[in-house]
Amino acid sequence: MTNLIEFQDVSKSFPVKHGTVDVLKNINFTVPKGSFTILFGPSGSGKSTILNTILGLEPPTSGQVQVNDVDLYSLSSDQRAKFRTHFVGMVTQDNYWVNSLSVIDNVALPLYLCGYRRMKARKLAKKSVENVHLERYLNSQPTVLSGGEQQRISVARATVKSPEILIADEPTGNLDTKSGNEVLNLLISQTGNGAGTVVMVTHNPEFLDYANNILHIKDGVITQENNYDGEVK
Amino acid sequence: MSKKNQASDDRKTALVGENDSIRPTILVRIAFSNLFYKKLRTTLTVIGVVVGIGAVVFLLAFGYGLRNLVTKQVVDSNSIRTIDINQANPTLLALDTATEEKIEAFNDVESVSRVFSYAGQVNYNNSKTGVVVFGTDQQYMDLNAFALTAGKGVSLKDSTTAVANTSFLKAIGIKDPQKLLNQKIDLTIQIPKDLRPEGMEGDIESSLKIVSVVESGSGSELFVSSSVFTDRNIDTASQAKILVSNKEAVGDLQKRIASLGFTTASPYDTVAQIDQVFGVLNYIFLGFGGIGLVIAVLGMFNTLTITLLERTKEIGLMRTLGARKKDIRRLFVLESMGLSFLGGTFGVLTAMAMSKGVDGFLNSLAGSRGLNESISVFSFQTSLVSQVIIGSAFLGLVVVYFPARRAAKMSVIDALKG
Repeated sequence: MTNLIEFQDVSKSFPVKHGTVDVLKNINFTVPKGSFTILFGPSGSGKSTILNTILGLEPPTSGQVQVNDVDLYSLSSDQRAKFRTHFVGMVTQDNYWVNSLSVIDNVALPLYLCGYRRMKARKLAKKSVENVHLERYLNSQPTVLSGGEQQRISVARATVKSPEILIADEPTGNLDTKSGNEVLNLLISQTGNGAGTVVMVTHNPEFLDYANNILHIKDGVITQENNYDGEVK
Repeated sequence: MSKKNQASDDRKTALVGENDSIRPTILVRIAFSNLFYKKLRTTLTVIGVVVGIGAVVFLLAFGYGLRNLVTKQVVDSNSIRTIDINQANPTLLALDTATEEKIEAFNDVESVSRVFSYAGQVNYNNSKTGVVVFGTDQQYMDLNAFALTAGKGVSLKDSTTAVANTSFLKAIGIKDPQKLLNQKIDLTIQIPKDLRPEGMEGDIESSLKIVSVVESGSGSELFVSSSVFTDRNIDTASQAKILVSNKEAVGDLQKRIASLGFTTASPYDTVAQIDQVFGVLNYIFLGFGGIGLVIAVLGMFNTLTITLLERTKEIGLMRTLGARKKDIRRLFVLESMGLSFLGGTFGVLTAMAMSKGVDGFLNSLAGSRGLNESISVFSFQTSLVSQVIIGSAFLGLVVVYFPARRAAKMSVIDALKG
């Protein structure tokens, strides 16, 4: 089993008015390649900080974050930006869009940032939107879509360049059960043999059954429950 | 490179990809999408720039137009390329054939017309009148562009004809210039004894036919062919007019002629003085127009800052998706340059339209008072228009500096939180 992400003695503190707050306390965990990993814990436990650290947006106070056996924070800011473009896709609880662009251009945005030509990027974006069955909205503004539809478009954008890692931060948090399950199934379809690795943050215990690698986090401390045997449940 | 290092580089390449980034054309497209997404705000900001740039261009074009009108009154297209030469000291320095040849040999000299000027006396209808007689050639007459009062043209074809000025008419008591045409006059040209060539005794006596009448000088003047003098071996002229091949060479040539000991003057000097005066006037106009421009700049700065504050989540999203700081900075720069370029272009067009209106009004006003010649008090030189449009785009660069820097430096996580 190959580990795609490895946290080694990672701590993260934030300065506050009087001293510092330790959000991550010397944590160690691994995310195997192809796994469906869930980061589970209550609000304020440090889940989003871990995701931001994996994304290269939050340098740890101490410790090392290895992605694909490369020390992520040995890379420059621009190189980490390129890492997010090439290697990572992201779905968040709240949907963010470039409001002036249509659905197809928003989905094509990660490809534009990779240097794709407009025609090719839009072709791939269209295919990705078709995968989430929302091709009728290709030329609409994303903000006119419902929450569930926006989240599915967000998955289309995150997967348009078939990233190695798909990060999902409470992707079903604002959705009803039906829409939530649709989004979850789309995420699960990204993992498995030969496909990407999903790291999802949730505090919904119902989703734990879908995961084969569970990271319980509480007060900045992690315990790992790895059931990954190369197969997705 | 060792196998271990090679593997490490391969893993890093897999992580960050090749050295590729967003294409400029796509960045421009996104910038313009952003601009036109908020149509009202963009339109109002562009109108602000149009007013500012339009005011500057309108006033500067007015300044240039006035300068051109004044310059046109002073010199025509040919006379700006002329140099008048006078003898500083006739007894020491002769303006003779040898000097003429020397000057003709200078670079950029197209022609040299010498002028002999002597006092004379005209006997007409048994009445004697004093005149100044100028002996010269056709080139000199053409370059002076005398206004013709009577006759078919200012012609000095041979030594039997003369051109009179209107003051001469008054001196001999003729009111209608046409009545003098083809009239014979007896002219006596008084040559001082020390300037007479060997063998010449007495003054020059000549019977001449008046072929035209022109506006020239305040005293009585007669223009005759220089052959009246040269045929009698008089070789020392009092002045000369040089035609230069291009006006840029005038200054240099004046210096070279002055180095021979002559004094020089040129309409080019007058034009330079006119340029100097209108240069100052244009700075004053620029100051007035600049007030509008400053307001436009503040409007643009305000728009860009509001845009930045409104779009922090968008900036956070783009950075999360992999946009580099410089991509965000470039996006803002393009939006700002787009605003100022549109403002600059429409500003110039607005100024042109307004100038047409003002010209039309002035010409109709002049027409109603019997003046049929159409004039324009504005001049839109290509250099002015292109400089303003390029300058306005540059203005966009300056205005966007702080908002773009702030956008690029924004923390991604804070930006996503909005």
